[in-house]
Amino acid sequence: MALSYWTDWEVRTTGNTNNGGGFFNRVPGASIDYSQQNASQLSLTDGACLLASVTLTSVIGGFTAGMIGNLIQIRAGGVNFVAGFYEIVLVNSANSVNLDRTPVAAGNGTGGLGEVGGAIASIETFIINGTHYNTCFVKSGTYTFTAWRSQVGSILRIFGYDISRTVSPTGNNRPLIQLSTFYIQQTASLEFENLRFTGSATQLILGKARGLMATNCTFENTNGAGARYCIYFDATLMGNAPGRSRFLSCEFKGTAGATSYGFKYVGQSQIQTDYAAHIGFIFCFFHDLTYGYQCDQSAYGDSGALFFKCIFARIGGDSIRCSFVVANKYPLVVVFCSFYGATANHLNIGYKCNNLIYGNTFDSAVAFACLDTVTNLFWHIDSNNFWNNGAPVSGCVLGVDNIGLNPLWVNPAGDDFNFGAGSPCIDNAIGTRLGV
Amino acid sequence: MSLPTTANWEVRITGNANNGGGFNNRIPGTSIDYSQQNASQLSKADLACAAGSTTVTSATNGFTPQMVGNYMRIRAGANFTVGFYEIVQFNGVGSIELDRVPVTGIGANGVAEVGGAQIQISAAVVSDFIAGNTIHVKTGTYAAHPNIALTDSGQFTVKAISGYDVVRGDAPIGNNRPLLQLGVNKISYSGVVLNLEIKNLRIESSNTKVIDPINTNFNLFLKNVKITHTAIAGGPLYCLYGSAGGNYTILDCEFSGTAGAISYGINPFGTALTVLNSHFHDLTSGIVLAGGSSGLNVLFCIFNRMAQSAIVGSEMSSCIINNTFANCGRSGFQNVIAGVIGGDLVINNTFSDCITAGMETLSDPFICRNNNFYGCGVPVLSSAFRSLRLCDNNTYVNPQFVAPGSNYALQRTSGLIDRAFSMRLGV
Repeated sequence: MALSYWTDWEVRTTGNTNNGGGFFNRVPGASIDYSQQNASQLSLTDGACLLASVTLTSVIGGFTAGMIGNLIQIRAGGVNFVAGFYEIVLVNSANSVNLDRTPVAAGNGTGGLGEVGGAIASIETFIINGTHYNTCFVKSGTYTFTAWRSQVGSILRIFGYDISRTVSPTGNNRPLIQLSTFYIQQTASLEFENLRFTGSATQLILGKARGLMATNCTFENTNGAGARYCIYFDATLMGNAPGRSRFLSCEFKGTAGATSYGFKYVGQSQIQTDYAAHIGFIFCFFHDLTYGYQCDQSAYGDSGALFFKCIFARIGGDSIRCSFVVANKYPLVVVFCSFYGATANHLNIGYKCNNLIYGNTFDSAVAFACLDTVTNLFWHIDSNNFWNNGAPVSGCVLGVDNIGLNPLWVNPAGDDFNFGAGSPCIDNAIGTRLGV
Repeated sequence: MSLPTTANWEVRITGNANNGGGFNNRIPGTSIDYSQQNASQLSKADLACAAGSTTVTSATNGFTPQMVGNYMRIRAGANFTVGFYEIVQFNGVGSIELDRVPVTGIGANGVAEVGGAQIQISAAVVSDFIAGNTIHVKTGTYAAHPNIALTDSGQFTVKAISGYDVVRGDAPIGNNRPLLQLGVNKISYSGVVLNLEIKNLRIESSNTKVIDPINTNFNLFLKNVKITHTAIAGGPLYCLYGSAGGNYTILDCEFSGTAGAISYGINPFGTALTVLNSHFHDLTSGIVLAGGSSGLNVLFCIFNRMAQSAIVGSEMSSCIINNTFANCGRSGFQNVIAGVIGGDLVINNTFSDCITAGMETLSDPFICRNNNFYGCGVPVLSSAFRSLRLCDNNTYVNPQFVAPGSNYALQRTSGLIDRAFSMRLGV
């Protein structure tokens, strides 16, 4: 066996590195979740186990029926024990349990040290120990990384919470992940929710596979020099990256002095032409960056992207840049977004066709709101508002129903991009006609 | 020379297949568009042309300077090559220059029309419909319309077919849009790459694939187009079929089938597909994927009266946002591949009266938030549901449609009004 798919881990600042840290509701009604507490439920100092056996015994005892499904962390110190996290899958007696797999190697185990239950104190522990479909609940607080960490389990979920696991916190009530000079490497599907990430490494998250999903997260690279990324996807030699990645209600922020990127994607190869294609940003906020989203020029592959109701503000270069130099099939879809301030262009696109630019407000791009680096007549730029840009378009053509009026933001300097009273952008939405 | 990329074609039911049908505003202020009229401006039967020459003469005269830029359709005559030609120069009332040589020897007794609208998007029109051109189709019913077999446009240029009612660009709706009754025929594409826009039309056909890209790299933009599959039996049948290597962007469109057939709105078949503000109804499924997809965005659409699932497929990579799903024989959204190929994002939708489930998926991970489920077998059917921390903030109330089946606007008292996401800055 192995750790169960549906194991839930608990991380809190008041936890302990040695604790069991996880729970799977193996026997509903009998299993008791001891991971959601600061201290372990049982501390084991005399663990014993025969070679290759899954039965762990203790003369001192203390096992209870409710412990089934809890993780026990066996740590270094015993004889022949392999340190790690194990699930109690059967309670034989107060002195004996069965684990999901044998905890010993090379001989009979004696003097085993372990903790049953209790929260662990580090997300890093989960990243390198969590297995398929495991979820890590992170209680509000500040967590500082001690090394860069690469994801091991193939589908991991990390969820921040404040008071209750069922309530999503906002703002500073979300756990703060201080990556310091380190980063997290994503190697398979990985989900973040309700977290704040800060750090000064080249990137906070290094994407290496498809399926990075984040909801209600903030990514801030605090380094004020060099090329810095909130999320950097390097698909070199990888298949299908970063397709199927989704960012919902997330914030991407850089620091003055750096060439900063909210999301950058490099390393496409020809094999990635399909599943690499589809990235979605919904209700996201990119600000104080050099580039909000950039896809590297490449001979192959692509990153067809959807931007839905996103805001780009105070961009030092291009808000969205996909200036390819060869044809690629994936359109850019930008709908109902707000763009405020770019020292170059809001959209800088090349060799993409059938782009849908609909219902957006483009404000204050020094050069162009929409730039195609080649003359491309196959854009669809309808029902947008263009205000105070160098020019609305270059290399592409405006469609119908565009306007050029002051959007009357409430307070853009204060990051309030709501439309004020009398704004021409209010109710500029669409209604689906039946029998169109 | 050749026919111009900047030409506009005119098709109207009161036109004529012999007419010139096209116009290029070659000399602004002088050129007059004679294509936007039923009858030709000039009819000739005595055209002459020396071998290898672009100069066409007529002993009976009739040419005017204003005809420059108009198309002349030559349809008969000794050594004349049938086709559309642009008048590029006025030499005199008895002489003009064409864009290219119209003869294979010494031409005599040439029969031709200058100006006047074409009567349909005929094979002849399509053969000279080049990148950059727009075919304007005036309102009316085009019965027994032939196949429209399109070819390349080039990478960054477009071929456009645009319906209108009274004047070009008026973007009619409902039955004021021209109706192409294709019968068993279809719109197809073959070639290397085609960028095609179709706007403001109604299209009916019983062909297996009403729009059928035979080759890859077909990029299509549909706006304000209604496609009705009229077959009453058989299947699978498709209003729109995908083109691997291509992309489709669809805005303000309608897809429907006919009872008795197994009909689908769209099968992307490897096409990157975005559908915005469109209506799918009376189909087996609205969108069905025969294999993997290259990305599916469905935004602000309505799906109702589906015999099966509204959106169904495997290995989809989907963003399904702000849609209405109602009366589905199976599920609103169905992604049926198990395992780690996930990534679906389903937010802000309303699922009502879906027999099996509002949303049915074996994929993981996915995001399912801020939806409303009402009257469905179960809201979400998923092997991963037990741990779906991302499946939250959903509601389960009567959406209070104004008139289900015909009007999916929300009543004033609906709990779904203004329930959508609003974005927090500094999230």
